[in-house]
Amino acid sequence: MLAAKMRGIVLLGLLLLVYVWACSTLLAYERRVDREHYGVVLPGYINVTLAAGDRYLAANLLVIRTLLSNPLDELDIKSQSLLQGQANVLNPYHADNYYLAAAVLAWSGHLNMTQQILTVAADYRPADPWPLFFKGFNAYYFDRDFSAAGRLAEQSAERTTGENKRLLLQIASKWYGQGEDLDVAHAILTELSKSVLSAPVRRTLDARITRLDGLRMLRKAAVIYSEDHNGSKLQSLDRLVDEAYLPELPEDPFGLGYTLDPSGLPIYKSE
Amino acid sequence: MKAHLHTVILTGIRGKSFYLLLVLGVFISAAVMLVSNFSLREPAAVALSTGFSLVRMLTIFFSIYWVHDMVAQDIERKSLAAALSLPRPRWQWVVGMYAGVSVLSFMACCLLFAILWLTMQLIDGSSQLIPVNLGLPFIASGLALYSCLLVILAFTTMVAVVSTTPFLPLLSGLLFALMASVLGPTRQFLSQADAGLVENQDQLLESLRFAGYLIPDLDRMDIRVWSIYNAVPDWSELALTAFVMACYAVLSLVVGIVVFQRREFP
Repeated sequence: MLAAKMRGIVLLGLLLLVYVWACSTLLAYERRVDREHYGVVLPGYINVTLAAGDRYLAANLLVIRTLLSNPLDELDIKSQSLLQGQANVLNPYHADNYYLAAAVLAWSGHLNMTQQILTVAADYRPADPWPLFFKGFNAYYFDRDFSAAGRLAEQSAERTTGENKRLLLQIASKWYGQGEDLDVAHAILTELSKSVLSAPVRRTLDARITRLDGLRMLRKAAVIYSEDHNGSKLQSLDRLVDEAYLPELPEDPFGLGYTLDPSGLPIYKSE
Repeated sequence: MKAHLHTVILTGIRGKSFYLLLVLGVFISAAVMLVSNFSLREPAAVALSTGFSLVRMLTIFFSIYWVHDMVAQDIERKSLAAALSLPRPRWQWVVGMYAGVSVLSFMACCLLFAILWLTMQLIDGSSQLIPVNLGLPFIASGLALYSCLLVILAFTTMVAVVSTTPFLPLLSGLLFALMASVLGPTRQFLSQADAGLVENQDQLLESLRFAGYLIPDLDRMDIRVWSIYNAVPDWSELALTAFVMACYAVLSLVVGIVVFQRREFP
């Protein structure tokens, strides 16, 4: 009787040991991360069905999902663009959706989708000046369409009062004048970075600010160089370091670097 | 009819559903506060929108469950025979049950919307460009949601009095609620899709147009954006939707009554 009991205990102990060994072996197996599957975007009506038929819940879930995407990953950004487009159809009033589009999509090569989202948001939120302002900024900065940018900044100013209105009108006049204003770009990126919750998005925006700071620094040095050399244009960025206008060339966090356009103006190397 | 109505209301109140609703109300409150942290631009808007969604889901589920519990189970338990033995027309039993569950659903809506309203007082939405409105638009959005419940209830009651399978009303009620909510967004997605992106887009849209006669578009009755974004609804569209929904509810009940009057119980 006692021997049978002992046999049972020993068997149970053995089983437990085998179980612990199997678990620890399984834990050592790396899970395969399938990026292709992560990038799958379900059709909008399926997303609404999964949200129990509630379009606003579906839109909230889509926007929260986009917060988890990595702005440096091309597959993530492609998915984010589609998801934000769906959220825009489901809830065109969603402020986080248009803000996230302005902060991430526009800077990641999805300008058309961004402008589409901002257009709809501007239409549905007549009291909100920012969708029009961001749309104008994108026209100015990415499309180089200065008259459209100025017009949009002016329209956005009409939606506000006081100091904000004055500032927006000032920006509109600058944009109409085709003056490239990196300080405005810097201010917008800084404000966007402050207002996003997602850490990867904020890190990317901060990297863009650093990149922009580098360009601002180069342009300021180039202006001084030109003044010191009787208006002659800068031939190479290295001259700025060689002739002690800069201690070193600024580093581009995206690794692309800077170059000169034919007129000697420092610009980004294209992405 | 009044007797059936009273019975349903008392049974509903004495059951554990309202205790459960109260507990779930606390869950809604916690979920709403949590989700507000996911939005820096409009925390109150996202919180209220999620709150509406959760209240909608719970009230739909409980309303359908009450129909299943009071109507379908009454038929299943054979206790219906006693009720029908009284010298009263059968339609009074159906209408009494429907009215009773409608009152219970109204009470559930009041309870959950009151919890949502109280929770919203704790969420700071002062930084929002468009502040949420918890006054008349909030009440109107709640009533619009309740009107959707009345249609879902009418359909589920019709299935319950016609069906001979106990769980059919529960399942078909949930499916109907889902289909009626998804129909509108699906049509919108298909009509906005780029040409060629969806195969047979025109045929699909035509089928959905036909489906619009069979299932009412409850999505049009969702006017929460009035309370969340101060977007005043299109009154003519809303009135027409309400009219279609009322017709659908009455038709469902009439079909249910006609079949129920001819039905034989063993």
